[in-house]
Amino acid sequence: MIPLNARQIAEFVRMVGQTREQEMVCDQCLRHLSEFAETRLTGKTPDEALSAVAQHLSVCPECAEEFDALQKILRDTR
Amino acid sequence: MTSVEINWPEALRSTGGEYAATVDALRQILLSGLRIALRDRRDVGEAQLEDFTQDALLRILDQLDQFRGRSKFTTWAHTITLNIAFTELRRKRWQDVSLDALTADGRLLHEPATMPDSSSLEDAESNRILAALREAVATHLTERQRAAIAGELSGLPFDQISQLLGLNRNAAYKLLHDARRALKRHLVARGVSADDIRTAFSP
Repeated sequence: MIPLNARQIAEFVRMVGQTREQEMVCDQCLRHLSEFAETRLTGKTPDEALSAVAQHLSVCPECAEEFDALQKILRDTR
Repeated sequence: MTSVEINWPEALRSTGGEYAATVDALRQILLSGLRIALRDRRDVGEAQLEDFTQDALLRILDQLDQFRGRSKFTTWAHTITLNIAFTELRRKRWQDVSLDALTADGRLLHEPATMPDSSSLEDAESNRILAALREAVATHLTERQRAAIAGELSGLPFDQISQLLGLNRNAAYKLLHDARRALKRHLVARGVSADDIRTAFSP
């Protein structure tokens, strides 16, 4: 068994705290991710649909990892 | 012609020389993007990046109708490419690990040794929250939910968790979401708010 460290446990508690009654699934997040990333890059406030993307990213480490990578590309190529 | 001037969906639906040139231009953009995104990964070689790019091109061409024009086409295409690359990299890293090996008897959230140490001022509050969470994990979650959470916390890719549970990805996400929601409701019933959690566990 892989032991969990304090950071992982804290991360899980944080994710529970971020949980909403309704959340979008990864496929839905992926569909909106490019628009969300460009909105973030321009500093605009995301609308309601895109806010759901932000919430999903706060509880889904895999989508968050891909979003971070996308931001890296957009920042480097703007 | 620069990438900004290209009507990508239209050009990718064309034929002959224009089609070939457009695919080649997009391939170069996606490959450059992957080099940027994965430049810190020592475990990824150029051949792999080219494989990811090729797979992404096929999916992009297959899903052209799904592009709604709400972002730049290239941003949308990068999103698909990154999803393919990260999914494969996670799969390779964890291909020989089973969920059973991670969860054993579901002790992960019960092991005192895995809990944060007791040296900070917020310790009493952290411990109160963790105690409530341990209670909720034991009483409110199914075995499958405990196994899925243990897998996720150990870094097991979501696709592998889904596969091992015999669920599709969306159903596995729902399983985890239902678990987190049950835990949160329990914490709220025990007087633990989202603000309490933020205060006690912010990095």
